Amino acid sequence: MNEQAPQIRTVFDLFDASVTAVIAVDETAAIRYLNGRAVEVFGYLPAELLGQPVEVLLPRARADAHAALRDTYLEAPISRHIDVRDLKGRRKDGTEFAAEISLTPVVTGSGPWVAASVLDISLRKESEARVRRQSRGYLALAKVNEAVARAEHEDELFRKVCHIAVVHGGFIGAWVMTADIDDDLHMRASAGPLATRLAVASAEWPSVDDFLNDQVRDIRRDGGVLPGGVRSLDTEEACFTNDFELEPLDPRLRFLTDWARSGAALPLGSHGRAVASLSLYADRAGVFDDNLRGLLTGAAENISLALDRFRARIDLDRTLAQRTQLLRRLVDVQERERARIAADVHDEPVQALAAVDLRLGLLRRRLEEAAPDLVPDLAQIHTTVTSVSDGLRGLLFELERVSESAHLTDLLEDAAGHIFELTPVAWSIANEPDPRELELSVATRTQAVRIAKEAMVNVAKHAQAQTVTIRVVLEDDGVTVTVTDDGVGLPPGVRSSPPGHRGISGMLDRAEVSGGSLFLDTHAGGTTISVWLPGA
Amino acid sequence: MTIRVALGDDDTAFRAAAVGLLEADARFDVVGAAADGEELVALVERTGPDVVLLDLRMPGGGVVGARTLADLDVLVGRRTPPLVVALTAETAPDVVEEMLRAGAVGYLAKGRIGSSLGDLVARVHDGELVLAVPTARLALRRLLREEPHTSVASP
Repeated sequence: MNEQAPQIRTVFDLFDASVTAVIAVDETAAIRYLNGRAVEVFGYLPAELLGQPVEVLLPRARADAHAALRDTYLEAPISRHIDVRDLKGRRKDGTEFAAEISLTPVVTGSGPWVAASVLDISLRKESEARVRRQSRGYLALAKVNEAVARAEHEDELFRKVCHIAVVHGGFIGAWVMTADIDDDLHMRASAGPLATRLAVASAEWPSVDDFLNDQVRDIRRDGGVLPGGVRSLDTEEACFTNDFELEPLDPRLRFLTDWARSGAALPLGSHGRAVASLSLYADRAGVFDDNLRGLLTGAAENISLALDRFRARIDLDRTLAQRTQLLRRLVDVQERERARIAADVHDEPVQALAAVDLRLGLLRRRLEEAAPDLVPDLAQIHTTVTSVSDGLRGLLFELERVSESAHLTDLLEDAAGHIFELTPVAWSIANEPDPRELELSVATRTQAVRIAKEAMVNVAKHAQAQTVTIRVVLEDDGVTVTVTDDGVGLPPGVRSSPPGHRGISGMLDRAEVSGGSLFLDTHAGGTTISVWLPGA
Repeated sequence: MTIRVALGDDDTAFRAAAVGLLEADARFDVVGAAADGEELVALVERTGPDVVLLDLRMPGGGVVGARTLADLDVLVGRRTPPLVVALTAETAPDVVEEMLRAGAVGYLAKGRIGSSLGDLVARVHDGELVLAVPTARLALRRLLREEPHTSVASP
């Protein structure tokens, strides 16, 4: 034995020095020993415990069961760790704590005793629970972020967030409210048993919205404390209540406080303004610690980002719809104006020239007999009349209105036939007319034809092409018309329309006003102009 | 034997010019000229011409007029229906196609006929199909497809 080691007379000297609480009982289970730590853990003075049955240190509900088990054990005591779930000790003040207990038989001068070491693990249990709650919180946050990324619109996102708060966040109630321009509240989504309770409480009102609005109006009038959701909409700040008993809400909100102990309300913003509020309720007090507040604030920020995204898209959709409408009106007005001009041209100059054409024909027959030497002069005049007449007919063709029942492909074929009529260009249409072309609006067909016509006129006038191919490709969301030639390519700077060239700016304008786009690929071997137009 | 011609056109100057040109030609006898479809049908019923020159823009002209004229034999028990020749400034291929479907056997583009009007009408009368219109080829391509792509007003 090492002389330097402290003298240990019995095993109880060792227990005295232990940081673990130790108590020892004799064969009758009467407490015969406890160390200093046991005094601290159980809150009894040694004198109060010595001689008492060990069951005084156990929860009352478990005392009988323990007495039976203990007798069995004492018949053949061995060293063992008691492997029972939810093992608990009871303090003098009656409070209980989670414990881990190990038993060791000890032979003493007073007979066989059993020493029990008792470890108060309530702090550990508490921190384990906290870790579990935290990881549950992070999981819920991850789910919220996924919903934020995937949701297509507000109501879907609100529904998902409430669901996640209840299923993954462990809240007993979650709902999202918005306030409209009249400050009226609207329950946009809800989940959890508390939401069911809310529905029951509001059963006598026409709707949950009416119930809430009536309550809120009354509470406002009486100067009472509003529920967090409304407060957070008013103040645009998050509200946390960790114990409704300590911070009682207005009695009219009993349906909340009867069930919930903690509550939070998070303002959800769009463009820096609170447009909605997410309310969360838990059945325990003190839920909203710093960690959870941080998580929730982060989640609210992410949801707000999504709201911004939705609103931006709604604005964009509205702008697009307005533009489409504007385009329709514009095209309609343009086409009516064109039709009017066409009618005027047809009724007056074309008819007049047609009559002149015939009169010149009659004159020619007469001159052939009377004054044949004048016939060449007349023929020259006649040629001029014919060419002016053709020009006017070209104008009429240009002004022609696209008919409701005309296929885009046929219209392009007509246009190509007309434009390349007097040129050596070999033109072809790469596709057959498709019945679905008629589903394109007249405005779209009109714009497509006009743009393609401009492209073809440019080819005829400037490209020095041998061949040109026109193609119509129908897509789910629109139509693409492509004009491809094998000519010399567009001159540089063509976007700004050089003199004598109509350029592509007109086509570009038409495409853009239609919400479509123009693609240009030009080089020495030819030019491809594609216009895509939305199908509506 | 002269070819009896009726003319339907609402443009006075053109009507006068056409009538003048045909009357100067010994091959033709102009039975009359009308300014709208109703007048034209009455004229045709009364005079039974061989050829009707039909404007497209005149009220009651065009496709409707051509159909009405094609059905005239049924209506009044005439021996043969008149040959309908479109004489018009319209040259859009679908319009040419519709006129051919409606029974026209000639299509003359106003403004580029001049002294040949008589010759063209005579050839139609001889049994030729005369398409003196720059968009004839396109119109025929459309016509040769099995189904008409444009909806023609039902008779």
